[in-house]
Amino acid sequence: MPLNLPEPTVIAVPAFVLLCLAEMLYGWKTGRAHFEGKDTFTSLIMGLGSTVSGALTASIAAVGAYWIWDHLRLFDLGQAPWVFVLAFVLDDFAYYWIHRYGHRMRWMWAAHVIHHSSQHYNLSTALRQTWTGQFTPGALFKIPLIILGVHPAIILFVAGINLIYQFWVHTEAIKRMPRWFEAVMNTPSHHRVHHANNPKYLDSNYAGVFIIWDKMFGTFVPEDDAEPVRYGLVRDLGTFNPLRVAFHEWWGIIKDVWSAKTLHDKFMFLVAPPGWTPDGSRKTSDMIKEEWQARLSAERQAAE
Amino acid sequence: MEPTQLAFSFIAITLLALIARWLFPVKKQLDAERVSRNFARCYPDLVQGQAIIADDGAAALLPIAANDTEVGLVTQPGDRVVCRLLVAADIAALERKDDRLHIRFHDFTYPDLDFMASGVALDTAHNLLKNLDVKATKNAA
Ligand SMILES: [Zn+2]
Ligand SMILES: [Zn+2]
Repeated sequence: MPLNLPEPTVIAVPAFVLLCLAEMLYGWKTGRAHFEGKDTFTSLIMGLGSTVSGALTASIAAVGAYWIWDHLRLFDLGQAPWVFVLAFVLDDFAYYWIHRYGHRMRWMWAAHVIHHSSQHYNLSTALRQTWTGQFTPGALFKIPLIILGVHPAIILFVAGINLIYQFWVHTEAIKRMPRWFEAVMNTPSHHRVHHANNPKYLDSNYAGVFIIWDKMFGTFVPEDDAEPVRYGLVRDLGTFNPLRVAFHEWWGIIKDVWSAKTLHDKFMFLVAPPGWTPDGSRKTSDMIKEEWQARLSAERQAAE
Repeated sequence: MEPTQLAFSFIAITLLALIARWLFPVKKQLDAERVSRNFARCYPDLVQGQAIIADDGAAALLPIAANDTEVGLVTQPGDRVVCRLLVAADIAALERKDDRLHIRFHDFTYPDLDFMASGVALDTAHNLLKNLDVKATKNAA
């Protein structure tokens, strides 16, 4: 099937740049968006590096995808418009799980952490993307779509549209969208919560386009105006150096796996949630949330 | 991606970052309230001592009450605040100069820091880090 679809994200780059500039000017005028020079530079360099690394490894990914398409597919759904719609929804469902594991499995977090490493939240944060996503098992989640009969080129195309959708949600300039929209779609409000390091908000709102996945699988947390979002990591970076930003968690994994005493611990440093250690000397997000809950209950009891 | 495209992208990124820097200059520095509030956010269970704030307002060291194995570090690398809880094993080198303490960390995400201080403040900061008890195990990621 000759499929020659455009690459949506490449076409969108000039619009991304102009919208970043527009948000900067809007923020400067109204105070409703915040930037910082070094942070913006690092975010944009991460975006450029991500494009370069993606281009360098695209052919390897394509070989794998086309092999599955040729040998393992059950159907060929063709290229009718409904197939694109179905592919878009299924791809977004796969994205939800990739993203969820991206936070819950340290190997995948090593790549995804980059996107969360800014303490700012603006359109440039959307472009702060990983250079190493290809070296995680994330792409495996898309294999069922190919086996079902969605052509790899269609998956690549709808994944591009998905990524473009996610660009605009990275802003503080929009407080809430209409209620029906907030109910179904990922929005700036929902995604702000996802970028928060407040214990209350950790590990929530993994949605790409449709927030319904979080509601279905119990990971939805609405933005609470009484709990302002703080952006970044539970252990924020003290550097803007793009190389350190890109590889810091990989370096951490290498050191931990190297020094782990048993094969089980070496394996767990890869697949357990970030923060896991055999002796509990660091904190996982679950531990942070538990401690926060305990503090909250103690404060409530003291107030009674 | 072609080299010219890459070069053009780099120039565009630098320009955008310069515009951001120009439109949003970093005005806020660390003060006692900001240090204390942010450290409490990161390490809510620890009782803080009196902060030693660097002359340039970009870093602060926080003794922890009844604790000689850990010291709080609060810094402002850009316009936002980053916290660390340091133990002796986190410090790779301490280099004292006239107007600063250059600290190198065993931390890939925070390689080094110039703690700008002089006189008594420099002595206090230096002693605080130098005298960290080595009992505590390393906790850095
Ligand atoms: Zn995420
Ligand atoms: Zn995001």
